[in-house]
Amino acid sequence: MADRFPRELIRGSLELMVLSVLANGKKYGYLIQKEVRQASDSRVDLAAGTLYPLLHRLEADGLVRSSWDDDTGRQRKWYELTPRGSKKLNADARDWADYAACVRQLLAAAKIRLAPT
Amino acid sequence: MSEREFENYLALLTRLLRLNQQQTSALSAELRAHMEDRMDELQSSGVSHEDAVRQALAEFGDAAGLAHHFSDVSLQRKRRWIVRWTTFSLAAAFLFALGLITFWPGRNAAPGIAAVVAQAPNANAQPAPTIVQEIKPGPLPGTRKSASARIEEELNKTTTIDVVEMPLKDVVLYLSETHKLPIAMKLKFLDEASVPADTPVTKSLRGIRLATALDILLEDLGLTYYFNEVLFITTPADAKHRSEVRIYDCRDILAIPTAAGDQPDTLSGGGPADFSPPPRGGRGGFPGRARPESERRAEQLIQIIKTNIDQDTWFDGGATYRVGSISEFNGLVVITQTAQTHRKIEHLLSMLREAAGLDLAKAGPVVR
Repeated sequence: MADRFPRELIRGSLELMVLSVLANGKKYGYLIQKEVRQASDSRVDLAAGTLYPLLHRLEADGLVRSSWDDDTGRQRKWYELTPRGSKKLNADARDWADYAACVRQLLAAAKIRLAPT
Repeated sequence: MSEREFENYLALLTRLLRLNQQQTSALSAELRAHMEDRMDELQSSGVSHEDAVRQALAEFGDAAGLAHHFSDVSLQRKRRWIVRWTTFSLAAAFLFALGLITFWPGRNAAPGIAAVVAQAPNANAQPAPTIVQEIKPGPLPGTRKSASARIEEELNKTTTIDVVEMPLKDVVLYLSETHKLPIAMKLKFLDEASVPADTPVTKSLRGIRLATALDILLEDLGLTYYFNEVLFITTPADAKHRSEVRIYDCRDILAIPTAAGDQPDTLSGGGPADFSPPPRGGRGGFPGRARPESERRAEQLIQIIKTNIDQDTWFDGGATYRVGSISEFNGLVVITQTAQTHRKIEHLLSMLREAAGLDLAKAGPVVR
């Protein structure tokens, strides 16, 4: 298994990752954490101590909303995107794609050869 | 390690965040669900219950760090609140000042509301100045008390420490938050003594005085504390240099009349005469007021203090520097010691007063 991504790389995209995980339906914290871990092949391990403060901030900013239920046999707080959150996700996704393209182009120009992982 | 540890963790976290009851239970329920999910997963992969708790808890990170992350979230809201609060306080201060000017005795040409109220009940009785006099110049109540006096007061309140393997710095933060006390760890000294701030602490102390709790907690780590506006946690070597002078009014114990001329309660049986006579000399009598009996008692009292409290901390004229010194003048005992020893002395004196049947409420004040 490859090493975890550097912290500073993750920091700038954490919010985007969480918003995109919520794009296909409401989830609770533990599920979000699990999905990010699986999607990244365990290279992004979103600590609870980072995730919950982030979720609370997103809620305070009106990008997600939460509700409680115990359908799963355990009292859980479910998060889902608000219309504003969806809009933000789309805008940030655009920015991110452009940014990645920019970095990729610079790397290509530098003729960096990437060893296959 | 048990689930109780997680509850302690939640309690600390929510205290640090100063959440209200509703917020506390919401956040606790959310994090508890996460913790349980994680433990289920770990245990289903064969990890023992105890290890699962430990690992799941470790993944949360330390409470102080998590609280910090959370408080970043509410910082914006808090700032708005502070601005509102400050505005309110300024308005309140202004109104208070206005009240002072209006009710200041003798200042205002018109009698003012307070004077009217005071005279209303009975016109030909002595003007009852109670209401007017209650508004006195000088510092507001609460601001008068020095920071050190507040620490002293807080040290006498009961506390509860119930932690398992919690980093010392978190325990300190917890105490600082629950007692609303400024507590600082002198990291340089702690490092020199090889007691880093994240030394794990396991303690279960309930319903004892904060002073005692700190003594027990820090003694185990080879540390101690002293205070001077801030409560400092440091090494005994460092604390030793932090001495302070206090003056104990022991005229009641020594049966010396106070300046007011009233005869204080005397010790039954003529004082603590059962102690072996202390060495005389060094004390010149005061002209016109030869009181050999009370002088002898003062020497004995000094001896009692020195032999019963922190014996090896009193300077005895020898080659080794020691922090403590003690002398007496007219029933006032002047002592230089560390704050901790001072507290023990205070305790001993009140025990003496109790044993001698003296009125503790009438005991003279300690000047510091």
